[in-house]
Amino acid sequence: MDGHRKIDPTVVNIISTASPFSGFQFVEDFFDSSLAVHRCFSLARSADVQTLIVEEVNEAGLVLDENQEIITYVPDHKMTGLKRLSFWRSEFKRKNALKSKVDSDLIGYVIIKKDFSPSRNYNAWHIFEAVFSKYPHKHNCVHRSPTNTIKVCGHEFNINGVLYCQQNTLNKVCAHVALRSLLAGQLSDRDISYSKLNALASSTSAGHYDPANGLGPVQIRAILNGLNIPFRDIDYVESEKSNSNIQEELPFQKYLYAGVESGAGALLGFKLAGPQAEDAKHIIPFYGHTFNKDTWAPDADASYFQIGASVGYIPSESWTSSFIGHDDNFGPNFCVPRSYVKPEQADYVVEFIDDGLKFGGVQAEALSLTFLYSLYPYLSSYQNNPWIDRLARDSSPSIQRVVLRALAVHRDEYVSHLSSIQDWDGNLENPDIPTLLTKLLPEKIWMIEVSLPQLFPANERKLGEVVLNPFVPFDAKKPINYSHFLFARVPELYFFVKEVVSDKPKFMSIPSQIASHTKVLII
Amino acid sequence: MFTSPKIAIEMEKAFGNDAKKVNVDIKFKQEVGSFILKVDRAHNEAKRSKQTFK
Repeated sequence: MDGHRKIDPTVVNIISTASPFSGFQFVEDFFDSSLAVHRCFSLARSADVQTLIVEEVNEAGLVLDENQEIITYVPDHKMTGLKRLSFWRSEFKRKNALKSKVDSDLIGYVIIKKDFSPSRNYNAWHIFEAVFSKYPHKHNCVHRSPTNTIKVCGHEFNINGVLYCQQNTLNKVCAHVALRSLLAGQLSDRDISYSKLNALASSTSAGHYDPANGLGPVQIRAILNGLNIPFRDIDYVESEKSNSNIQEELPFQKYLYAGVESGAGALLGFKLAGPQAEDAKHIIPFYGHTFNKDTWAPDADASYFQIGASVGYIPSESWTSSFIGHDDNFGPNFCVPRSYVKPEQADYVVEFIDDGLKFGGVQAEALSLTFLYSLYPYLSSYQNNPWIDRLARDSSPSIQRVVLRALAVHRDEYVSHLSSIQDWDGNLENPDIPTLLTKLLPEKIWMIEVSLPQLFPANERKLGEVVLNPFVPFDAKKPINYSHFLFARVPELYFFVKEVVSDKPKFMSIPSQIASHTKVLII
Repeated sequence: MFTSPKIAIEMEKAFGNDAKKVNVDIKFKQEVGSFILKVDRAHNEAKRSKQTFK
């Protein structure tokens, strides 16, 4: 299905992007001043592009599939242009220079397609797909970014980044392209055709299905269920009918953060603002966030999250300043401030969950509190460790100001992390413990890191974790199920449930050699 | 099935005398349980959605 990325070109132009070349003029001359293409050229310029290669290519792979599909909806459709653009950090003039180029020379690529349909009054270029790596900045958090392989003039290159795609209103609109962006990082064979997305979406339609009419949560759910992608979503319009406080109780930012922090991604559907917006609704994919250690809100209580009347905590998302995503109208790799979309505009949110897991990060964080806060009496009586004293203080019923950060991680990632972290005095963990955990943990876990407000943001350090089994579904009759809990680690101690008697867990502790704070896990 | 009791058994074998019994009363079960079910309820309600995104 990746033929469109690898097909040999029919014509090649290699263009120096040094002055007097103008990306602006080029986009105006050849791509109808497309805003999204302008964005791609700007991203390339900001990465100091020196050379642009423009390949004319024939239809192949997903482009061929799309053209075959469009005809079934729009019989007079013709593809009138298809080009593969690649942007390079070094200056060169000939194709054979590519022999010596490596992956890091490639800034990004764009496959741009022109569709024509007189009956739909449509004659326009759109970006079929593009990948530009988000520039490395210590505040950018993009986890598990996929690797994409393309060929340029027959030479193969890899580039890391989340696929960006645009709609054409013929066989795909914003929801289709948003889904494709995220699914390319989730599916084992990465590529998914729009024909497959439409086949799954149309299974929910009683009458005639036309993708140009858009997709709603019902179709989006059918697609995700059809592909076995776990997710949690909220239709705020629907849920507000029975709970007028749903926006406050389950804010969309929690779902976005939970999805992007574990690398699976999230979708946000919202009403457009502005005088011409009226009923227009748009949906875009998010795949990362920015982290601002100096954010004021957590210290001012504004970001305290209430699970229930008497239980709450400070979520690590409090230090997120923006979510990183694509907008199919404007281009790839935008930072959208976390409060830019007002709650009353946010109509639908989807947290993508890692493959096979039965619940998401929003629920994992909440569940971890039961165990963490229940340990407070024991921790408050523990002697001679100032970090346990501090954790006990912030876990106390009257304070409850622990910081939690939920990550879905592979067992081996966690074990490797546990083996390598050092506390402030340089102590490593007893190697027997991670060795045992390698055999005793499921393939993936929810790891909820526990920290304090002055330890987490500026220092990016933690006091421990609560580790949960993500493969156990919630029982509606008994949601707090001790089979989710695997263990908790705090300075100097591990806690396990040894047995459950009459629905009361009996805990056991063993010592940890890590006596204070350590680095958080970066995936 | 991977469970905490199974991990506890192996840890106790490995760490013997260092393993200690800890008394913990589980708190906030009802509130946290309600929150978890609220998330699942909202997820189920989305089946009835009438929205469309273009």
